[in-house]
Amino acid sequence: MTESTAKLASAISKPSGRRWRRRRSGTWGTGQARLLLLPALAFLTLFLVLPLGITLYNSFLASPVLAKPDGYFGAANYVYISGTGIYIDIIIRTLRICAFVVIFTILFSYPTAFIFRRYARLGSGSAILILSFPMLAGPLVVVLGWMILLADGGPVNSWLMWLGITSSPIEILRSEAAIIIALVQFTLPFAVLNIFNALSQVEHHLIEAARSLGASPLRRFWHVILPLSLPGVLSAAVITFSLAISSFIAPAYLGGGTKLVMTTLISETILGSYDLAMASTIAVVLLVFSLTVVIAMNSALTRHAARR
Amino acid sequence: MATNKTRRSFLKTGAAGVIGAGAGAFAAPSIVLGQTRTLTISTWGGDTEKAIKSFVLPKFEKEHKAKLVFDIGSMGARYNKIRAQKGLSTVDVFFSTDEPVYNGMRTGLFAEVNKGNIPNMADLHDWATPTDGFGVGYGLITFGLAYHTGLVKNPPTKWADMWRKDIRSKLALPALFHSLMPALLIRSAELGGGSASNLAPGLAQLSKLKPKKLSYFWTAWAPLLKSGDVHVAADFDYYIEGMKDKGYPVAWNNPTDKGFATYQHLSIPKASKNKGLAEAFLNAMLDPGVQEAIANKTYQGPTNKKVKLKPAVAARSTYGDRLKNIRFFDGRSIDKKRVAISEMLKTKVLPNWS
Amino acid sequence: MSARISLGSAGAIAWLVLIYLFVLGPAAVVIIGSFNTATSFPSDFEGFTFGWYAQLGEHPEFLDALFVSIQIGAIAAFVGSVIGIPVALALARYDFRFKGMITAFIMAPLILPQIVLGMAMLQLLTALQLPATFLGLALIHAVFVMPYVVRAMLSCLTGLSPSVSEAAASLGANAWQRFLLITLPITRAGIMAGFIFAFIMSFINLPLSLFLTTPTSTTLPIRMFAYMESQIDPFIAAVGSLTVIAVIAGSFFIEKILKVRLLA
Repeated sequence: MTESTAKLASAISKPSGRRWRRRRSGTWGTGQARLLLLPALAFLTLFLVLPLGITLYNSFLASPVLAKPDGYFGAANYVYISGTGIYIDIIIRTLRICAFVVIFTILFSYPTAFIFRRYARLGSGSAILILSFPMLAGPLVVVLGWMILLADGGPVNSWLMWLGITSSPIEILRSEAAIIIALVQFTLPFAVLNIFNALSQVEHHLIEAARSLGASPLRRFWHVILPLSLPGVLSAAVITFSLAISSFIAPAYLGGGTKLVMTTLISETILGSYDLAMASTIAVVLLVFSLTVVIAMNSALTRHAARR
Repeated sequence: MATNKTRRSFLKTGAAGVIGAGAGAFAAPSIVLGQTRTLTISTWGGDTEKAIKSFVLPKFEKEHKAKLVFDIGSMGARYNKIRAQKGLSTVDVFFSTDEPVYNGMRTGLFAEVNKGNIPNMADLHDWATPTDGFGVGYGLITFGLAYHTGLVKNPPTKWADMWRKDIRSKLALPALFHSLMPALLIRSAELGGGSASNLAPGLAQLSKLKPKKLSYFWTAWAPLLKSGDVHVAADFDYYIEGMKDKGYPVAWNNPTDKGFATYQHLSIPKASKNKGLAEAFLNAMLDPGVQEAIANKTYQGPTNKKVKLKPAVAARSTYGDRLKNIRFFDGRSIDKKRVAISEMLKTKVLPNWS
Repeated sequence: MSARISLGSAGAIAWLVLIYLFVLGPAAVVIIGSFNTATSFPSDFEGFTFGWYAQLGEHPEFLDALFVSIQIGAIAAFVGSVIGIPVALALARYDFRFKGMITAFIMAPLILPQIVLGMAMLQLLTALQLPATFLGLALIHAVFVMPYVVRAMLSCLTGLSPSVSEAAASLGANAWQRFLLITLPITRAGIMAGFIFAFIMSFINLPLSLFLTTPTSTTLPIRMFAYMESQIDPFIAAVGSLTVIAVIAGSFFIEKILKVRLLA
């Protein structure tokens, strides 16, 4: 079973480093695998690679902010961004928000998935499904709900004051906390589902074996269940991070307009100043950062799988 | 058995999806082809679209044997669309404030209209054609100060009141890239001892504010007005009049040092293949009856001199006396500086706000 | 055995209650608001009405948009499945060179800033002298929902031992027969889950559609976003709630009447 968990891990991520580093020689796959992948690769080339190429090209045109001569083509936008404080601040804020979202989402979703798994016969399929219902209303409507709940004069602040946690309203909206709260709520069902699947693959007889050897529930969890479900946790972290960093509506509505993140900065730059060059530059930077993080997480996953 | 049944239902679901999808994909173009003449209106979805559909569409479609279709979305998205599509754009009439029009004129996106096809242009106010023949203003609105009638004991009456101690941290302001932000920066500069050509004092002034919310539309700060988070908002008169009708505890003042006039503007992209019909549509939008109906419904001030608004509506629109106390900015020069202004706001003001 | 009720399970129930409150709370606020007689949203609850739902009749453009979104979601999920399922099979069954790179590539749409790609797509179409169309919008949605199909399918396939398929092969079944008669039935939960997730992610997507909609392909999120520029009232809450209610009813129907488990 460990093997198949690892297979899941490596399937979702990068396979073992050895294969990765093998020199290219001959074809890149067996005939069948190639046949299975071909439609997707052709499709993605048309609808993803070409637009991405255009984005990359746009990012080397001069933004009107920089007043470069006509026909300029070069890295001026990148130089400008890396030397301008507010852009750096926004990049750091984006990554900080994503980090918090990943941490809280995992902290909340692990016990939830664990409980669902433990009481599996009580209909956890439907239970997980119910968790994903708010998604269906669309992020616009759900974010509206958060605006109502988190306002200075809203219910959450009234409860906090009633509980005596604070004496005057805390400004939650317009803070990064509001964005984090909404994104944790949005990503939680995805993470629960991932971890639940991973936990389902921890074979029961391993736990029973540990029990028969006299391991306490805590030890069984710590030495058997947790390590075996770790790939699921990492895979949940990857999807949570991906959803968080590409999210647009929650930061736009809940950040008060002042707490810009990279996606909202991009949209304002296109929609407000029609500055496609700068927007594309920020998009490329965003892509580089998120790919780096995802690949790092994936290689952790692979290393973990390889160790077992 | 269960497997059998479910497989069948799965296949059914899949098949239904495919058939529905296929039908949809091919049904869409046929709607367009089925009509002799189609005029594509690019506009805000919501009140403006509703006003066109109720006050212009029925008569226009009948008179011109044409069909109106609507490409809806925010102004920025729609403007970017025609910019990117250039000659392929199917938009015939573009609704916006005057701001993107200057940009589009500079980049050769809009066509000059033939006044001969728009007889109603003869009845317009002098100020109603800011873009020199590249389209026409069909409405006028004023950007001023809105306030919560229950929570603000001493209503703001001039722009400087935004900096009052009880207001400056309870403000809703336009977003950094909002079309009125350059005007607000210029006024702030003047209040700080600068001018349109010396904006630095304006940046310093704005940095002293602590806005609760930056937004493009009143709908983004309205919930915060209700919850008491926002007390004062800088926004358009006609939005606030609409809010009053919906029962919000809100009122609007035209600042004594003049609110900012803004056009609701119509233009025709060069790529339009129905320019004559589009001009007929512009003419219909300038019709006194249509403009009065739009004002009655939405409180946008008319640009046609012949429109006589009822006193109740007149008092709530950019019309009559209000016209004497509004300020027109030079859109053309703002357009040239706009990107620089946005960047200044982003780098010099935003860090103090976030 | 699994239904053993103990003191520990009281803690578990308390935890679940909190989690459900947190996840469902904001949507619940909106659903409750959609039944409010007040003319603005949000508002204190003034009285109960179905009136805002009835208003849908006066807004045919919302029904059009709903229909467009369903069609685009169905095409996107279908195309995403047709292309994504083989990918999952390849990734689960075969080892091949550049597998890591190809996997990252196929999952990449998940992390891309979609608003920029929507714009780039429009530029690409223009460069190819193609107009933005309904089908084009659906296909770009398909790109972005395909990773969900692949993920759902993979988590299902990894539990599946290849030995069954190998046994069938030894009995003379060809690849298509093995796929149709063995893999497909066994993985139907994964296929369903993938299709449904893909549909939902297309159905709620706003940034991807922002620059690609046309008069005949205005999606529901674009329509709602546009409405919310000029109005914010319980009607928009009703539109949002309607999808939730419809899906709750729909999934109840699928699970209980058709006896298909949506999420295994």
